[in-house]
Amino acid sequence: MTLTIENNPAKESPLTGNLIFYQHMLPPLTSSATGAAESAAVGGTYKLTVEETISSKDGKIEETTYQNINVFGVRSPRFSLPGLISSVYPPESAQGEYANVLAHVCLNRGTLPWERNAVSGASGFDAEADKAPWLGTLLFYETDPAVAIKQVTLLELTNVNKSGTLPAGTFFPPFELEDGEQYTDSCMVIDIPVALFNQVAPTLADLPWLAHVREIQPTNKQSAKYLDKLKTLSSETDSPKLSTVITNRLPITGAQNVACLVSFENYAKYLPGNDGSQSADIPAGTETVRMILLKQWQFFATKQDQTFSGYLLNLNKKDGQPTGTMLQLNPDNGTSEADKAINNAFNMGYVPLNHHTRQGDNTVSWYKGPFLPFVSAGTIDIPVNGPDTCTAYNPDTGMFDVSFAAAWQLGRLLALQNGNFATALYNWKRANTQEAISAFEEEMIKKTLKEIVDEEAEQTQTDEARIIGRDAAQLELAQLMAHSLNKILSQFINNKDGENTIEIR
Amino acid sequence: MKTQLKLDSNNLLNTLSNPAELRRLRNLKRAENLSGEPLSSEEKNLADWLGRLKLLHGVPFNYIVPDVSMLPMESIRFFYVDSLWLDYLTEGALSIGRSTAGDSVHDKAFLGDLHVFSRFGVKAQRNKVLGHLSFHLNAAERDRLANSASPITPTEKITGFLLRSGVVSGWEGLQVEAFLDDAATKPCQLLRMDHLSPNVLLCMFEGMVKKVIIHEYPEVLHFGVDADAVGGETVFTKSFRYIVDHDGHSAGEQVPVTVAPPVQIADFARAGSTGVVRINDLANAMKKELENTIAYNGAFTAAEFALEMVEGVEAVNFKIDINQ
Repeated sequence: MTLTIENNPAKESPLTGNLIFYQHMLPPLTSSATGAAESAAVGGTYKLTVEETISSKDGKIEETTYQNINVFGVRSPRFSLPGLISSVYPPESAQGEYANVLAHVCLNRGTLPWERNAVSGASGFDAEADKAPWLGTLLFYETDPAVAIKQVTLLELTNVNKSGTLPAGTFFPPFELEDGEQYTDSCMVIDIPVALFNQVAPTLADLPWLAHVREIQPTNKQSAKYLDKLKTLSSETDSPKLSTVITNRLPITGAQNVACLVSFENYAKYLPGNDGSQSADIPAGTETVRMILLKQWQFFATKQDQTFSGYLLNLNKKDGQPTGTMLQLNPDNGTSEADKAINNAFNMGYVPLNHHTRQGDNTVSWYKGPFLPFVSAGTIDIPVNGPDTCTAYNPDTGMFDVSFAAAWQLGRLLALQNGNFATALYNWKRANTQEAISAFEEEMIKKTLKEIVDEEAEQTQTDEARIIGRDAAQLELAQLMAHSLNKILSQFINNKDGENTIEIR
Repeated sequence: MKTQLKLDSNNLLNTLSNPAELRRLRNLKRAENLSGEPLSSEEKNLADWLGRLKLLHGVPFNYIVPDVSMLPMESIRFFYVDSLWLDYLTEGALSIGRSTAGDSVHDKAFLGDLHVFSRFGVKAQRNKVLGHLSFHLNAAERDRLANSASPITPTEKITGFLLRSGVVSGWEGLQVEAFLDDAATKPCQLLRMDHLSPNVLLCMFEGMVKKVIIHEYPEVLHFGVDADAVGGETVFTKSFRYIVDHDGHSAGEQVPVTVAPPVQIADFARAGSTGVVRINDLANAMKKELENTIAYNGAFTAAEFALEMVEGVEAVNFKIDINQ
């Protein structure tokens, strides 16, 4: 058995997996005052008015208008994204050749990056700049000036309202609380030195390019765990859609990279210029810029192989030496008879395990699991009555093979553990026996009945009138039989041990 | 007229101790079921549970891999499933409630039916995992899945592999394709693909697997640039992709370098910072270049930019040679 592992010579087109990219997915209703003017929400609150006017042509019913008003709110996450982050790339704490990769975050909802707006007070998504997503990914190097990540309350994001405690020299764009939000709510923030912010933050024109939607065609090639996730993101008519938010900075090699998913809500005015120049709107005296931090992870760009193909191409190797291909213990190169016997057993998938026998002895027995390194064949005689009937003993080695006994015992335990299965199995078995008994009884009754009728028929062969009478009698008898059949059967079942004699008139 | 109907219980006892007679009697009132398919909802539930059991759902990991050195870190280990082991496992499960001689006769007569049910159950599991996602599969996969209504044949081998690696935890949605031939033309039906732990993946297929291809998946497709070593320095470039079918090339394919030379990423670096790319300028330059070189005049939005920027799908092939 040999295994050849090789890289696919050419990378496949990203569209082979039937992936569709979309520029954006704008939510039909938003929580902020965006959207078309006539349907714009005030503080995420919408009013649905239904009117019906009724009148009759002959004027007997006066024109009357009935009205029903429903008020509902739309909220979207703002200071944290619980359960909405699908995955990050490069994977968390990965070390590999990521120097040429722009890190990204995949989000579980297609509309998420457009549910708020980077431009404060924007109404509608008409202008191109308004399509700027409110989410962005920033990348910091270990060698950059230090950023501070901390947990604060919303009160620490403002110094305008009430007793806001935003530290002096720290900037956060003005914001209004929405329904259900309180100044005591906490959130994670990242404090970035303003010079660093101007260096790494994308410009307003960059933002729309750094988010898109991926519609994924599911495939029967993925694990149950992943498909379960896709199932929650799709329906029978909609295929799963994920949104992706990408960074604008390439990683540093040989040092830690920290990627951060941040909120750019209301930040449009304060983003740097194309040459990294500071926005004129950032107040003078600002030393650090505070941003809402929604996700943070680290990775390391090195020459190591912890990439997708790097992992797979280096499987089954330890210090450059192959470690095997099949699921088995590796035989050594011993040549004695004992070694040969053991190697032979290893090649058949056996493992020696401690065995505590019923008598309390300790011994070593062979066990092999359901997965073998070779093709096996065979059939069993059913039913198997117990684990002892499938324990094998090898007189040459004096060792037991308990593999099948263990399998039998495990199957029994698993069946008992599952109450539904145990009950269903019991009912199925009982139904079989009951059906057979009832069929048996019917057969017996029919047989006896036939004997009676045949006997009578012999006596009345010549008399035509009596033949008619016989038919009538037969019919009567059959009706009677059908009527009392249930009674007979139940009596019979309840009294199996004795002989039953039932009189029929 | 007075007649006596005699029912002899010895007769019944004889019948109850004869498996063949018991089976004949039960089948008297049933429609013929040649395929042995589970029909009632109760039988379907039994088939489902037995199918899961045969695919080792609920079986402790120690029973599958009895010695941890059989599956070291960073390894892929192939296997053939021992049908006997599965039969004994199933027999154990079916043995519950067997206490009298009569139960034993019943089991002899009817347990074979449950073994057949279990083969239907084995094939139906992936269908259940996919659920409503099966509506979105491509045509070939949907057809193959429709075939899973037939049971796995008693002689059909189940094969598969265990993968224990960082790739399992880092690339949760990795795609596995298995084939019955080296040329990768005859796909195998997947029976089970499950994470047994964050970094251990179990795959089981119907048939003798000769080749396995493990792919990246759409979610991890990432923006990446090409790193070329020029005079000891790493230079980042990005070559183009066709956005629509053009000139005999299909969308998503690379534009030959002779037609459209790759973009130099260094030209779009932001002044005064390291590694930051002026994305808006890069995107607009790409749009212009595509217009000039392959006459692409369509929309160029974040979606088209994404298609240009993502790296191709990586895949690794595993070829299994049976020469023993």
